[in-house]
Amino acid sequence: MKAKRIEGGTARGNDDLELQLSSLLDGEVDDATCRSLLERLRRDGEAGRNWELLNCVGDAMRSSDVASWHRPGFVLKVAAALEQEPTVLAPAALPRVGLRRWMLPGAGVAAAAAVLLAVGLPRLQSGAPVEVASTAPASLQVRAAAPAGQPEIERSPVLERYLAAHRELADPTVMPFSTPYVRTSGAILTQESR
Amino acid sequence: MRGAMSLRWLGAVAVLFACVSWAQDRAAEADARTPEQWLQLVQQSARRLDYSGTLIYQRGTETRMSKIVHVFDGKVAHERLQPLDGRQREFIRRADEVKCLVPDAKRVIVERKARPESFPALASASADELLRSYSVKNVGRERVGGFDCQVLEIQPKQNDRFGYRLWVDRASGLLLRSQTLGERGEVLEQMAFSDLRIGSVDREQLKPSWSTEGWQVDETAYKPVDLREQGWRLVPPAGFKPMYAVRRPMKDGPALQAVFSDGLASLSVFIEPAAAAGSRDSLPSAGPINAFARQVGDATVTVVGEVPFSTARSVAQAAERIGR
Repeated sequence: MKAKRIEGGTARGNDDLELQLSSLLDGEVDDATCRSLLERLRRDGEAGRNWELLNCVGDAMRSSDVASWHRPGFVLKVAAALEQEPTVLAPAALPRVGLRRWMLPGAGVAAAAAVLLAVGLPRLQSGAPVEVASTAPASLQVRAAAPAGQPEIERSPVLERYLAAHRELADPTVMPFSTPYVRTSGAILTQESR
Repeated sequence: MRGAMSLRWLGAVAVLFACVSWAQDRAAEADARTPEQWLQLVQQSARRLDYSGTLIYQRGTETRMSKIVHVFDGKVAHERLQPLDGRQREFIRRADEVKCLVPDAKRVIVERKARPESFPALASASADELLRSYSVKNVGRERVGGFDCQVLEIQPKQNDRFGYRLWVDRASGLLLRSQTLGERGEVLEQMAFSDLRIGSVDREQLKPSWSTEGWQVDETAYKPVDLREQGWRLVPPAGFKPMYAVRRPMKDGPALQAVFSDGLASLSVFIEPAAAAGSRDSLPSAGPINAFARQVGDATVTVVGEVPFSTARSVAQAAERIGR
């Protein structure tokens, strides 16, 4: 489970300190290191602020909107409280969020929220698309064929060709990127049949 | 000793109090979010969160499932989409490049979106712009699969486009469920996550199911064009901005494709020599996707998009040749 355990020794340089603090937050340091870090947090204001920042980063990363309401003043207040009493920072009392992974570029979100969504998709009433009569002579009749068994898109090689081409350049800005691909996953790709 | 103990308690209480007020602040923040801020959050979260799960897509009597894995590496988004129905294929995305893997044909089709330098007109739609064509309302909170969700209703100001209902996880901002609504509020299509896992995605899951060594690789070649220089004038519905105008290969030869988007819906206009487009007897509509084709002189103009049929038709009918 643990990637590695940080063994004792004093922190050298800010990078080392940050790594050790995030290990502390993960509960991944041995007792001696824990004690020396807590001592350092008590004495060293900079280290204390780092510690608070790490906690904030963890929260901010877990929920991307947290950052938007992050208030430095609040952090300072907590930092002040914590500097008074560093022992409340015992790692066991903190949620184990694997913060260290947050700190590394490219590391994924470690706080995993595994859930099962029971999605009750209501049966849609408008099952078959509406037939549309077109009167313009040069235009094409748009009409829904709806025999069961096969997805509609697959039944229309002409339409799916355009859909595949449309999908390539249609950027959904609010919807997730995949939306057009999920929508037309069965469409023959433009070049496929060339 | 005793003094030290009470100090310790004081510290603990202070932290507890801080945590509670933090949590309250956070809930209050979610409550205070305007509909536009929710939309921005949805946009950001879809890109920046790591998640994996199964997406269910439903349109009419048709249901499709796809597995999805999404990872943001700090700079770009990576995604793997595995449709679980129909023919085997996979879509592997890195930033703006999508590789479509077709194992039956042992082919990889690379779709690379041509980006801003060649398309100065391309700007991502902001929430402000969206609000010109739609009104967005918070319509309450609902629980979806254990997630506390904000429900947003997006109504078009005119009936030339569809409406949407979105369920957004209040904690993460991830869109958990979406419906596309027709003119009478009927559901044309919907998408929802089943088994969703936010965070902690193993990057191995981004790897395709097959080794593509020795597969044929094709890349779509787009060439940016100026539609006016090509002798065409297109009139998109109000609020739809030009995104791309390109010359591109289609099945039977080169075609012009112009893409317009209002930030939620998009439509493409294809212009091909009539002979290449061939005769078509029908174009079906599929849920929110409608198409309309029309002859203009010696060309066929085909409009395809997530817009009502009448909109696709009016865009096709407004297309005209202009003197060069």
